[in-house]
Order: sequence, then structure tokens, then C-alpha cells
Amino acid sequence: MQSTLTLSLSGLPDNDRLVLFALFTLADSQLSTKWQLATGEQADAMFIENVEGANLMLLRPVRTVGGDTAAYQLKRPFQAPDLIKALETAGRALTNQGAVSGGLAAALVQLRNDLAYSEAVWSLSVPDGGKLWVCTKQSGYWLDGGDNLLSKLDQLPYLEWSQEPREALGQLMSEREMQPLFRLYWMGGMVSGRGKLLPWLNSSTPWHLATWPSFFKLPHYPTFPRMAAAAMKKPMTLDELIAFCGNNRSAAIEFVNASVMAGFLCEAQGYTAPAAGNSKAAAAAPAKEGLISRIRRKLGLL
Amino acid sequence: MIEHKIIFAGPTGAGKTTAIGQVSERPPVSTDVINSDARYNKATTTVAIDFGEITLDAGEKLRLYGVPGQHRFSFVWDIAARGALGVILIADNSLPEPMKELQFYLDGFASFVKSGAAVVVVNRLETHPSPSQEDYVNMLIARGTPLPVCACDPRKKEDVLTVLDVLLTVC
Repeated sequence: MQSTLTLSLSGLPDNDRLVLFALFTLADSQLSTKWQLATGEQADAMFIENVEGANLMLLRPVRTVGGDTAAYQLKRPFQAPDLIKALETAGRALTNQGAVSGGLAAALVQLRNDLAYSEAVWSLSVPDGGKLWVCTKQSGYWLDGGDNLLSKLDQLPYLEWSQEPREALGQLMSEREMQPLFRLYWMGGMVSGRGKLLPWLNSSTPWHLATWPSFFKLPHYPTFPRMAAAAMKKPMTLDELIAFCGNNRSAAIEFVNASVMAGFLCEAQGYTAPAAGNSKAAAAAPAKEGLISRIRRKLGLL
Repeated sequence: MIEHKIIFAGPTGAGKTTAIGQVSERPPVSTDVINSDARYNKATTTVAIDFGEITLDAGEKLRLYGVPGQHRFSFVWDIAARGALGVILIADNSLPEPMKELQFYLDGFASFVKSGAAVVVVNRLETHPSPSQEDYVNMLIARGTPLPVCACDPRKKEDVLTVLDVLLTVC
């Protein structure tokens, strides 16, 4: 049975409320989700006045990373198609409350932000079998299906975490080999990007390495240790990393996605590149860089 | 002729000479002698500086120095490390207390460690998984000297090249 969502217009001045009430009455039959008007904080969503018109606020938490928030802005004069778009977007978000779109990485962000508060074991499954269990308290995860399962999970349109019964943890600990949670976040970053920076990351951000990645346990390209070392020495943007690893764009993107997800790479707050000085060290820098390049060339590392 | 140098340091048997041999243009010149220390399962051991070399453009040389593993030869470290580009500190995970042993080398090459011109290499991690790579990373962060920590089998050339690549980036 389809649930009915409730909408409040009480955050609007009288004129706007009247117009939107009229438009809502006209639009009602065109909405795929059933909406009815309600008052104040009892509603699932409420229109609030802003400078340009109105903004639809969702009054229940929604677990969709990178949602279309622009759809919630309505400009005066209000138009029925804009209202329909706003309510359709809100309806999708509210009815998929427990599910998350955006691939495995988005689901893992949701796990870290919303579900990592207890000893509970959470799981994700693929329809044709295979399961991932995670316990943040144990900083570990278990897979039924190998690393390929992570790619399969990433390809599902929505992922919804299920809470396992209390006894699941003991069973998993005794029957399966636990892998470190940072590896799952790392893998999530690698599989979800698909050649692009994760949608909530910014290519102009300078990143610095907070912790050296345990490459011994992590799948990686040969250039990853070099990029990690570069970001350890000074904050690097994506473009700088690309240049630093021989213009291998996809490797640099996967490195940033995986390292940020696993918490190895952090945003360098307020970083500005140092100005060229006239100190002895600054003068010697190009000579040293030349030497390093000559050594790299000789060793076949360029 | 201009010379540059990189130092390999670590306990006896950690694989310094083997690592140098992977990238040196000629077999490393060693001063190995019969090992009289029963703690280490090897026939010969390095008691003085040994080195390999790589010829760069215009006749420049990059010398790779392995410095003696025994603590009683630590006075040689200062001499060897003077003017070096950086230091590779090799930990042998098969020893009873490899992180404690590593502390000795971190202190001995403190100026490189402090400036970040150093890389920690962990050998025999596959057969001796504890302490883990994360344990080394956390120990270095706790002592206020975060450094790259590379798992490395000195018998594998690509492993040694990765370590050198990392050192050349941070030095």
C-alpha cells in the first residue's frame, strides 16, 4: 500500500500560501506519490519563504548522498511544473528513506555517518547471493563472495543496510576471516568512482596525507605509493597528483577516491602554496628536482 | 666527479646488501665476514660500509651505502650519512622486537627522520605479520615523526624500486 506524505505551507506569507495551495490542488493528480496538506511540524515537508520565493524543507532525515537540492527551490511567480518537480523529488527521497543511491561509496558514507553508533552488525546483499557484513565497533568486515561482490553491490541502483540479529557477530567472528574496515572503505572508493572523482569531492581541494596507507593489505596501482609520498610532503590537488604520476589521470582519481574514503587523505584546511622565496633552500630546489629526475630516469621510474 | 648517496640501514640480516644488489649497476662491494653472532641465521654479515652504484647522466654517480647493522658500529653512520639524499631504514619483522630495534635506527638517523627524508621498510611481513604495517605507521605518528612505511622483499627488484621512488619523493 502506498503511504501518504504530508506537506505544510505554514512557513509562507499569506499570498504565497494561497498561490501554492491553488497549484497544489491542480498538481495533485499528476504526482506519483500521494501528498496531503498538514500543519507545521507534523508534516513530512514544509515550504519556507526565502528571498526569491520558497524552499521546500524535508522534516524527516533522508539518506541520499548528493541529492538534487536545486529541485526544492521555487521562484516567484510560482509555476505548477516547478512545484511538481519539487514534490516528486521530495517524494522519492522520503519514500526511499532507508536506501541510498550513489553506489557502494555513498552507502559506506551513510554507514559511517548514521549507523556507526553501536555494536550492531549491518549487512548489504546482492539479489543473486553474496553478502557483506560490517561491524564498525570491531572495525572489521566479512564478505561472502570475495572482492567481486563489492563491484556487484556498487552496480545496484539502491543499497539499503539491514541490521543483523545480535548473535551474528559471534558467528561471523568464529566462521569467517575478518578484514580491516579501512580496506572496505578503500575498496568502496576504488569501485564507486568509475573513472570520476566521487561526487562529493572537489578536484580543486588540496589534499594532505594524514596516515600512510597500509598498501600491504590494499589493492593499488604502482604509482599509489609515490602519490601518497607526495601528499605526505605537501598538500596536492588532483591535477598536481595527475602530473606527479606521469599524467595517469585514472590512477590519480582512484587514489584520491580510495584514500579519502579510507581516511588516509584529508582536506588541507586553509592551505596556500608557499611563495617562491630567495632563501638558499629555495634556490637549491630546482637543482635538487633535476637530480631526482635524473635518478628516476636512470631507474626507469618516470 | 659528483657523487650523491642514499643510505640503507637496519639490523644485521634485514636485507640491506640484498636490496642494494637489486639496483646497483655492479655487484655491491661488500666487506662481509663470517658471522659470529648466533642470533642471526646467516653465514656472513656486513661489518663496514658496503656500496653499490648507479651512473647518472654526465658521469654523476649515485652511491647506495649499506651501513653496519651491529650497534657497536653505529659511529660509522654519521660519516656515511653526511650529505646523503635520504635514508632507508629496514626493519626485520622476524626479530623478536622489530619496532624496538627500529627505534635505535630512528634515533641514529634523527636528522633525516625529523626532516622527512627517510622511509621505513618492513621486511618479512608476509611470514611474520606482527607487528603490522599499521603498527609501524601508528608508532611513527605517536613519536611525532610520520614517515612512509613500505612492506618490501629486498629480493624483489620492483619492491626496492618502489621504496626508492617513495624516498625520492619525500627527500
